Amino acid sequence: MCSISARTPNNTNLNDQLIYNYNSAQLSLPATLNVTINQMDGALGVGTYTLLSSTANQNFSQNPTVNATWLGGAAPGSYRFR
Amino acid sequence: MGVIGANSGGLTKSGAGQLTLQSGGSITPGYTGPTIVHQGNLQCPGITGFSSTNIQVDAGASVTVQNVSITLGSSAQTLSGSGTFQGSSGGGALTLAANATIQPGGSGKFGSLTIGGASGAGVTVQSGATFVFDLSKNPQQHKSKRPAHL
Repeated sequence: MCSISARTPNNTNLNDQLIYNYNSAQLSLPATLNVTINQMDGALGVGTYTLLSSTANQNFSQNPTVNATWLGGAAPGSYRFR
Repeated sequence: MGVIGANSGGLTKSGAGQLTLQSGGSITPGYTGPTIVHQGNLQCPGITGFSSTNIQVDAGASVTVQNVSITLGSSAQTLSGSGTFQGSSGGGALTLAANATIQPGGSGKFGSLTIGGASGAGVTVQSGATFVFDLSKNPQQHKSKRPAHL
């Protein structure tokens, strides 16, 4: 889970981000990851929000199921975590 | 250097210098008030956890854990801010346990939070831990809040 894509108008990709300092060891994620999305200005727009990234451009080998909680409005009509 | 009392008090660090939170062993300090690092570096040799329910590391500031592994979120605990929280050489892994809430930037504030273990040790996120992200579709409205490094 590195990012979320939403398909409703006007996204311009502003968000918080968690950066993992790779430091020669992988990040270990649980099978189900709890993520709370606080929509500051209502439903998100089209585009990709990078939520989790890593120094050294390491790819995250895990792909947990995301248990998402949406605040600040309904969840976008269509979205996915990837 | 004084002693922060158990079950009371907190720690707020301002100023660009370094402060060492001396443990005298591998312990979790007993104070339950917030741990806030506005500037500089908070060195934590032997600190295996915090009793603080809120740990905040602001942009440009850092918390460095030395000599031991550390677990956050054994009980309800939030790590927030736009700084860095990580282990250093001689340290171990960072574990984010079931009651950990990780909130980059902070509540209603945009930012990037960096986490890491000591070299080769990594970070383990356990089931139940929660990542909280603020997102906006309108950057202009929040431009003044946007950290320069984003």
